[in-house]
Amino acid sequence: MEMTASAVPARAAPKATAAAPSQQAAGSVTKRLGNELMTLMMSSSPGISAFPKNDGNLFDWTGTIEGAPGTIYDGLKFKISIHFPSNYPYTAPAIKFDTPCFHPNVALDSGAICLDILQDKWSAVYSVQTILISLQSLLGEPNNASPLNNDAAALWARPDAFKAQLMRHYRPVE
Amino acid sequence: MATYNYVEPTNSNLVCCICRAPFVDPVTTQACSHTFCRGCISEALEHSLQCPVDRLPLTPEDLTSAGPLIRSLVDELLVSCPNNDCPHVCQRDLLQGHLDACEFLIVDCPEQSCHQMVVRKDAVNGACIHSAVICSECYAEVAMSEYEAHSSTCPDSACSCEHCATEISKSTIELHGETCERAPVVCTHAPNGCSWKGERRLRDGHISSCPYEAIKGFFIIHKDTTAALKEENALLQAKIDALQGHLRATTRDLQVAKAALGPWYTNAVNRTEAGLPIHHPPRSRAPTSASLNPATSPQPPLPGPRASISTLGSDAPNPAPASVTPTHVNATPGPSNTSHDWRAHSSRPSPNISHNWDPSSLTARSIARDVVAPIDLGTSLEGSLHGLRESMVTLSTTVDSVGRRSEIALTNETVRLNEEVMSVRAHLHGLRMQVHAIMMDRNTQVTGRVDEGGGITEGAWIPTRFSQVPGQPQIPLSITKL
Ligand SMILES: [Zn+2]
Ligand SMILES: [Zn+2]
Ligand SMILES: [Zn+2]
Ligand SMILES: [Zn+2]
Ligand SMILES: [Zn+2]
Ligand SMILES: [Zn+2]
Ligand SMILES: [Zn+2]
Repeated sequence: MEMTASAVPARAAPKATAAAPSQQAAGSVTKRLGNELMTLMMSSSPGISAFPKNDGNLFDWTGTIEGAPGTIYDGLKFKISIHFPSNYPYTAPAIKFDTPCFHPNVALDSGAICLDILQDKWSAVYSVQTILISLQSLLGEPNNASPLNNDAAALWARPDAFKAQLMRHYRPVE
Repeated sequence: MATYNYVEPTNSNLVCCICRAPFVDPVTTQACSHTFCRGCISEALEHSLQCPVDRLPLTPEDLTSAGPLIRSLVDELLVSCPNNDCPHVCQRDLLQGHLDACEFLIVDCPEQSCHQMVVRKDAVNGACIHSAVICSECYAEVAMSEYEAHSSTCPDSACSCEHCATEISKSTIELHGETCERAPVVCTHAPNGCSWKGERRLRDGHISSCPYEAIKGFFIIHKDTTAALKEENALLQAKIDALQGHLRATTRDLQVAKAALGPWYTNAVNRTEAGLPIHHPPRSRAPTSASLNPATSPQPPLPGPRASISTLGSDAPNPAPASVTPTHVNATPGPSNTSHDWRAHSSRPSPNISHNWDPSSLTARSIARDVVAPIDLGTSLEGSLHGLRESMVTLSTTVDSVGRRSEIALTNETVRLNEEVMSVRAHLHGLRMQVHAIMMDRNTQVTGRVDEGGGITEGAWIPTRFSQVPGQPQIPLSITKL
């Protein structure tokens, strides 16, 4: 809660009643995350899912993305972790791959992702579902113009060699 | 007010796409006509001056309040009171009015010295509910707010026994239940099958007439016996388990042994069934021969020399070595000697055997010779191998001696033939001499006559004349004399 209060922009109310707005802000984020969780569970988006890591904390989620059929990632499952900032949805959540992913726009060691909507193109109307669907399509259609993994970008034109590298690093999700 | 608890699902057209809840103080963008809560869009614009939906440039000045229609639609949504335990539900715009009077609002305790919080309805009488009161039953100190809960569980509060209606404290009711005279009980022999049920005070009366009471002693003995049997059973079960394990292991070993023994195994089993010793020859296990003395039991003839032995008399010469001429048996004792050695399977040649053997020694030898058969299943595997090895040694010896024997026989034959040729030659010479003498004699006579008749040559008439001579039969006689 302290972190929440400090993260709220300067326009927050005077000191005497400082607790109220920060609680309200945290409450609205929690409410929106609960709403998103409900939407995700109700909708049936093939190959994507996400849940809070533990019951007490709605700000840390874990998700899975399955490679879309017909792409080189077909049938492979990737685990990702999602951390929501206290001022979500005004800033993007922090997302990284937990499963090693050999991909032009994913850092193999750290799992960091280079995707515009997670950085400067983020909008408050995006949701976890939007992000997961975008990541799923990024797997099949990488942006080779701005690679994080140069080896992967270079190999993309040769699917056989690419698949071999991909499988060499891949670890199945338990 | 940041959050409301809406009691019904909301039309998605009234939901702000930033906070995902019905609009609160909705505002609309001028350029693209998107509607958001005022709080939501203001916050978003602090991060980026563009419309979150379509990224068109947007500043706080471009926002205008949404129309009265949208405002009243969201204001009429039903919400529930956010205070715990308050069941109040009302339109959203009326909630503030309810909260001002809500009985479940948390307020400070009316007692100035008390720093705890209470819900408003507990503060209306002005007394602090946190002070302790004394329970009139158990004299324990109980907080005012918990007094009601305590009174229902106070161990000293009175209650009545449901069976005998005696007034009794709650803490001792269980104890009383075990002795209450009117509580329903079953007979003490219920475990043994008595179906009597009734109040406790009547049980003694029943027991005096209970049929199970009479055989009370039996139950004790029976129980002891059962327990002992159970224990024994468990012990036996354990033993059976152990034995079964042992049996399995033994069976496995037996299978391995069977596989290793192959055909010898089957034979050993059959022989044992016939009641004969293991070392007995296999073919005598037929029921008819089972009673015979093993030493004299008939041995089936084997191919080769053995067949000839059994048909021969004790002193009959052995015809087996057919290559040797009968007339030379006496001259060369070797053949009969070696043939006996072979049959007896003695690895070292012993010449006296051939000269001294009798029928009893023959039978003894033939039994011993049974080991020879390469597939004799009557012996053990090792015995057979040993027998085979001995046979090989004997055979090689025999081949050696046969070779030597044929060499000697050949030499002897040659010498004898030479002698005969010599004698025949001598006879021929004698004959020639005699013929010559006769010729000379005739010649003298014929010459005398030719000299009388003349004209005939010697070579032309001699054979004819010779064959017609009446004295011709006498010629062999003269030869014999020579
Ligand atoms: Zn817009
Ligand atoms: Zn909103
Ligand atoms: Zn209320
Ligand atoms: Zn108080
Ligand atoms: Zn009490
Ligand atoms: Zn009672
Ligand atoms: Zn009874």
